Amino acid sequence: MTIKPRTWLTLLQGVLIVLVPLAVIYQLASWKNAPLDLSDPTFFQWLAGVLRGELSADASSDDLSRDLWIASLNSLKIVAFIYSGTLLLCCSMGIWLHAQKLAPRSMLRLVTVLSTLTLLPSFAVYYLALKWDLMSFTMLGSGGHVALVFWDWWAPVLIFAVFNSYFIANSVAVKDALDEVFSQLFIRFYQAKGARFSETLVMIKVNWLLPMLRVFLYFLPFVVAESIIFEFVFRITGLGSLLWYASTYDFSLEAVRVFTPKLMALTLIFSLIVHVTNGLSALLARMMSR
Amino acid sequence: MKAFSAVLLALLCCLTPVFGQKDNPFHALQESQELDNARRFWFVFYQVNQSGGRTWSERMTESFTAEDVPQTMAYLADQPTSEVLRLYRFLEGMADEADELLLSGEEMAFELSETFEWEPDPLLVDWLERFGPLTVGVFVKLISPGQYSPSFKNAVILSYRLPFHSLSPVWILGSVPPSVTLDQGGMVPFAPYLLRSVVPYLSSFLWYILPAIFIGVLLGICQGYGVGWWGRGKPTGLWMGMLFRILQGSINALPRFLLIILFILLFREFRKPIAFWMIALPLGISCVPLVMTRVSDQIKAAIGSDAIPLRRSQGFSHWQILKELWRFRLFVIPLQEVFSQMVAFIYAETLIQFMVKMSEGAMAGIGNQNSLGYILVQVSYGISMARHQALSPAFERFDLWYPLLMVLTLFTLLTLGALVLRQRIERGFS
Repeated sequence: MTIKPRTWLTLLQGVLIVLVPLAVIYQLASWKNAPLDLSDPTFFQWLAGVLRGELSADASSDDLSRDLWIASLNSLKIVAFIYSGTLLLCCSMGIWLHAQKLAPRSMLRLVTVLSTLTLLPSFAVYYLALKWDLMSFTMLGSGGHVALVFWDWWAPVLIFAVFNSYFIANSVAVKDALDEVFSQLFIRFYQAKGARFSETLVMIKVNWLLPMLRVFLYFLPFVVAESIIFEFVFRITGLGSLLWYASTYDFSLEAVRVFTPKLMALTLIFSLIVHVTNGLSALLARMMSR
Repeated sequence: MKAFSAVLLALLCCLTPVFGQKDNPFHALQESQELDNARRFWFVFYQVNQSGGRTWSERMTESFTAEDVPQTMAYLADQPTSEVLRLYRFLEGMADEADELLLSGEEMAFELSETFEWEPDPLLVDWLERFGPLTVGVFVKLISPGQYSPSFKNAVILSYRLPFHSLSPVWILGSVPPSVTLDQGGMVPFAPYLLRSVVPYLSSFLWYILPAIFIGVLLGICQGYGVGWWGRGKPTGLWMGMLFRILQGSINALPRFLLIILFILLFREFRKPIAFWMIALPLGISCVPLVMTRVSDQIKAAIGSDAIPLRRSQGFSHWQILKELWRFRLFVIPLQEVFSQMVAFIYAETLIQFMVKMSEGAMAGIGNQNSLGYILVQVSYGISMARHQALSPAFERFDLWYPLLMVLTLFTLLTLGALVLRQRIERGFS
């Protein structure tokens, strides 16, 4: 199999898109730490380490790969948990809106108003959960892996689902997409022939799932960013808190020390998440437009 | 607009005065000063020493009575996290025990010094006697899990009374902002404080986000028109095209909140507080590709629909066509972006304030304390602290929650206003 030069070029471009931010971060961090004479690896040493599957350790951790692995798993759990709440809220709202044939305009207004009232209800929930002793301040995590025990997690999930209620605005996107799918001529034809709702769903195969999948992917970067707050509140070592603590004040050096390899590795992980998500959502968009 | 008015009305109703309260701020101040120490809130701040210049926590120290943490606390700095957690659990257990057995401060200090091989410190004995092991435990817990940093060596525990003893919004608006200069005596009006808090947002917005939006619009126009070395939608040529895509791809690579964190980590000078531009600039940068794409799409759609070619054939110049486009649809996109960036800015600032608050030992804070995020975080953090320490019945009272609700209401109104304006612009003002 031969690969065309054009494909090589595209591949090179993809690699550069991932590497350019890392190089910029590396350069800025090394300028900042330059007078401190620290023994961080060079950019290419770091890159070779990543390709060999090992990351150089720095003063902040003795085994960076292990720490990143634990943090990624913890973040994944958080994302899955917060996501479940928000996504359920958003998709069910979208389906409900789609089902409302009458007065969609006022419904849309209601959604808008709901989606702006994000903080008030979330703090109310927070307050009530505390007041009735439904939520304790015990941390979910204490440095290692976090256990997924639903009874420990329900309150945080509830709070963050409400906190993210501005995502409800996206239920309009679900509604629009469903409207579009169901307004297709052949479905209307079948419906006119007396086909039931479930039968039409079978007829259009997975197409009705695509809008929801798209919203799912659209959320991902936001939820990743929000998981940082979650990690802070519940003291979980995740990717976000790792990123935040990638720079600390070093008393012996009397300066802020940026842990460059850690910062670069985290940036790499985050940018890969975003690129993969963007790619998938573009793919879905293409599938939907067919 | 009806929904907007309804929500506004509902929120205003929430803010109506609660009757039967003494609305005199001076009465409240006197009352709060008469309270004994145990009913105060205990806040834990980490003193940040900086050679030259004052940090925000130093400014706070000026306002409140500071009591040095016993030297024994410096012990924490040399211990691994597991040991610190063990200490916390021990203190937590001791708190129950001390309640049951009525242990004196000296006995508690003896137990601690036996278990952890500390020197019995008279300050610690005094501390345990007055406030119990839980306060020390809270301190230990706050700094321990996963956020352990040597900079806690310089920790100082500050105490202050929360000023809110009245429920009336009239009083709140005329009283001190939460957590700022109570013990200095004079009452700082809250309403001007809130107004002042808008200034840093506005100036950062003018300097960093608006220019970015304009750059996005200009680049979008160039891209849509194919001006200069940019052909239809893309720069022509292999290398320029590639450069362009790499730049756009790497700006799009991170969610903007992460971009902000990266900026803060990379551009904060040694121990200096976080400046507002470190939040505003990445926000601006991140909106350039978006505005650009949307503007160029708009122009390309106009070209595709033959509107521009038609006008050209009628003898209009490009400039005239642009003016026409601008008058109709083109201005909608940048204006929309202005509003969404404004909301994003307020949110991002609050989140950063929160993160700084949670990790004060390692960070030097945000430079500007005249911001909505600052008030919000201070007050809500105060509430969770009160819960942590189980010290005060004030948690059950509404007065703490009141300022929080005020700020939240302001947030909500800002967000709602921005959203409604956005929709108005979208639909046209007719």
